[in-house]
Amino acid sequence: MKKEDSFSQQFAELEEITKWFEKGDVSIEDALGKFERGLKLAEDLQSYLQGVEQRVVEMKKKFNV
Amino acid sequence: MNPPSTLSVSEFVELFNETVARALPQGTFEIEGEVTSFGISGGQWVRFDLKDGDALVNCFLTVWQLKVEIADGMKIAVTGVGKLYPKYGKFSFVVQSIRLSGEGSLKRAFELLKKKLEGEGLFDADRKRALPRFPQRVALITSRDAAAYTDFLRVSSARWPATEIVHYHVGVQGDSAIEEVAAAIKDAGSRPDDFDVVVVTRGGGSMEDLHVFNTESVARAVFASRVPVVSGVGHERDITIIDLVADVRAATPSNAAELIFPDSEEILGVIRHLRNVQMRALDVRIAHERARTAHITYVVDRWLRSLSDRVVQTQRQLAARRDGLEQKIVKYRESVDHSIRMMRSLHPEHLLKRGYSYTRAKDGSIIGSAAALREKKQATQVYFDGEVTIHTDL
Repeated sequence: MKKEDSFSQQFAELEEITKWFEKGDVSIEDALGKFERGLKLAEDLQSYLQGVEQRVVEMKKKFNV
Repeated sequence: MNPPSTLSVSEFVELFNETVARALPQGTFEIEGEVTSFGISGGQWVRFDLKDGDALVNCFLTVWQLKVEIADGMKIAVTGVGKLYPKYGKFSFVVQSIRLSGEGSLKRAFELLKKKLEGEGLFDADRKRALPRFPQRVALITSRDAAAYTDFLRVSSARWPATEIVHYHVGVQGDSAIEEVAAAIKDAGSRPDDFDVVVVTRGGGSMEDLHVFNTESVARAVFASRVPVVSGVGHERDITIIDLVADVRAATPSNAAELIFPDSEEILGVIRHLRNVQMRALDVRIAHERARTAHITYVVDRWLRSLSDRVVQTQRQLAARRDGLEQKIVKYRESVDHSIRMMRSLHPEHLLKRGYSYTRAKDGSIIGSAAALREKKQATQVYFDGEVTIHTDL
């Protein structure tokens, strides 16, 4: 039950792209590619957050020693 | 009456111990009293006396069995079994468990443990770890029957349902709960690949109710955890040992959930904001690009126009120069014609035709004077229509 860290990675990437845009002075070819990526990340993150429901798993192991 | 039976000393001690153990089975009673003459010998044997106003019992246990901090003057209750030690004939109560009885003792034990652990660096601020921004999986250690369990899950599901919660069901009160909680923390804390955060929580209660969270074994389990630990024990005002060791201390179970989970509404807002920043930046970029393109078009246009202007001008200059040249040529031609006419008019033939003649010597040279002619015997007189030989000596 290894945890996956996709949300924070994607969120960090979205922040990184935004920082890049805020820097100004960017080439239009790069800008279009980055914008598409940023838009996709934002949509993925949004739909993930809106669709998810809390999962509670019981630990089977007993701890009364 | 039968005569008294004879027992060896060893037999007596054995019989005595068996009788006592049968009459007062372990766990069926506890002895409450005040601690006095507390001491640890050889780093492993714990000895103290338990007394009240009228009596005193010598107690004995190993340091590994000592789960709470005790000191002289504290009021405690112990379970165990009383026996005579064969070798020395000394009576001791072999302690199995110690319960701190009364707020005073609990407070005292709390202070003693706090001082001890503080000295060892368990509360050091610089070893507290930060919590991840977006936890993927959280280990929740509490009793499923506790209000804390419901409170925590209510807040976590409202704030950040994306995190999976793995619940460790443990007792949160009573002596047996101490090892349960410690074992659960040890298990979750040893799995940094599975968990981002371990949260240990229970609702409010008296100091005795919260005792589990004031024990050394729980504190050490938290200290050893490789995963950041959040404690949310009791109410705002309750400070427990686990709060001091934990990486993050929450005031209540709900507050623990607030500290661990980001608010998804807020994050959605941030995502929208980030997207808008990108959109605006791209718009600005495109507008800039459009303006630049327009400028380039204008510059190129102007250049082309100036180029064609220059072509027209050059053409005009060339045409003007051609006109001049033509005029010059006509002039030259006229002057050449004139010269030719002049030359023609000067040709000797013309003179001959008008009646003149000239005299030529035999060698072709012109004889221009009568004296020169007299020297020659013979000459040729040239007319326009032929030549006549003349003889001067005739």
